Amino acid sequence: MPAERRGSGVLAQSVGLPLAVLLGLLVLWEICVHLFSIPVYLLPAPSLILMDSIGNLGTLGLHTLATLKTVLLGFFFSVAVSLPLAVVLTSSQSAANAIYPILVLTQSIPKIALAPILVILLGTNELPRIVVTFLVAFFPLVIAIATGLMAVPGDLLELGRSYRGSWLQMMWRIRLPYAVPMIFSGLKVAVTLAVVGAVVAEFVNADAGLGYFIITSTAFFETPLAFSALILLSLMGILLFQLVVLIERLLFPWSAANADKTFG
Amino acid sequence: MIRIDNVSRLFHSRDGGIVHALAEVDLEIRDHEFVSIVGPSGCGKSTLLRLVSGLLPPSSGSIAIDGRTVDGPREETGFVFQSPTLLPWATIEENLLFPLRMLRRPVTPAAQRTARELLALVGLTGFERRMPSELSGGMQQRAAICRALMHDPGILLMDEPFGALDALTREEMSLELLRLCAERPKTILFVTHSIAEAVLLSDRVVVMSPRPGRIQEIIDVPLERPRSFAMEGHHEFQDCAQRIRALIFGSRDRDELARAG
Repeated sequence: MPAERRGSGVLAQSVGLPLAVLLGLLVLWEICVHLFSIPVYLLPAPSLILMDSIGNLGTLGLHTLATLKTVLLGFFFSVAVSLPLAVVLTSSQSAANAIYPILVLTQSIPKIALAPILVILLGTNELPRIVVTFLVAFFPLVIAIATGLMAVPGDLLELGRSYRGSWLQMMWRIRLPYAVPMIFSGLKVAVTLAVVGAVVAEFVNADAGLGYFIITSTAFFETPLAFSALILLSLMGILLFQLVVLIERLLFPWSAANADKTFG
Repeated sequence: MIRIDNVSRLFHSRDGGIVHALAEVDLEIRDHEFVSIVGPSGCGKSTLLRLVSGLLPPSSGSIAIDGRTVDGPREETGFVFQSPTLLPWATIEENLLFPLRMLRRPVTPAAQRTARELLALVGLTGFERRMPSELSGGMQQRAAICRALMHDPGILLMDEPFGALDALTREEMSLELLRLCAERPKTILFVTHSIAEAVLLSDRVVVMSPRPGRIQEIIDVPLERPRSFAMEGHHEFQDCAQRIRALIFGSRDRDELARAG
């Protein structure tokens, strides 16, 4: 596997180099801001963003937690709905015919446009935000899981049938395990989209959360804080993505090994 | 005993036409007999095997194993596919235990011992905890044969099991199969493209002709057991191989003449 092959020199290259480039860009940014005396409300210097972030750690923390809660709940529901939905979708042609068009329809509705309507429908509480997050995340997940379940080679299914496997056994012992790598690539996409969904929902209706915080900060031209929220959102996306990767490595090492072969 | 009685099988092709894969096939296979099926592509060899396994129902006629009609996959048969079809997420040992889990049989220490014994028989000791992707094609197919033997079926149905292997591994596997049959006698129905393989392994060779697939002739192989590759030089071996070749290629020539005329 790549980690074993990489010596410390290669590690320095693969981690150190992008880090150095990033640092260089930040320094360049800092210099440009001072050099051209760009006003703070237009583009704050990285050092100022850092200082303002530290000064507002408590507030930022609360908003981060609020967004994280929406993201996790929306993501959880998208997984809870997509898995059985994909199983039903792939179990028969008539089920696919019945569900698939509705699925595409929900996906073709712009979620940002839907958010205000959901607020009227569900009230000014957390629910519309979770629903928007769910709607954004679940479609690619259903498609990934359904694709995985359908990708099982015919002879593997024939093998199962030759041992008189029931529908449930075929699903549990052949189809689902076979789909695991594809389910996880779906989960990786879905968790990043869930962050997007939560922020979009917070733009429309929220009294807390990083999306809400960006709206209020920019309204008062507190641009450094808006940048802090932006950075926190990216960090959240990266960490959640890596969490999914970690879970895959721990629970399904063979699947992660396959992914390494394809993408590593 | 397997009794194939006047069996036909039709397939509906996508353009709405009907393909006669098999027509009026009669065949009886005795217990512990090794029967090979050879014939050009499209002669319905694999279809016949799937009918016996119960994976496919016949369009007409019937198949019975020990007097009971086959109407679905049965525990008396084990199937070996052309590709190893091992579960890529399971260790070799787990792959061997897969049939027991599917058949809802308990996975006992005795079963695990059986798995190890079977693996030892094909020289795969020490590979129990390996993943299929870590094994070569030949080793994977050996594991697949072990898997088919795990629930101790009386009948082994093998669909070109060595078809995807290189020539050397193929010969090695033939020898191993001979050894396996000597140690654990089974009734074996073996589909192959290789005439030499068929003669070396079988008691009888069924030669089939295509469109529609039917039995052209059944040839007895008079070589004594145990068999070895040295027998390829024997004139009985040569005679059998010649006759099979003549049947297959003779009919093909006739077909071409008919088409030309």
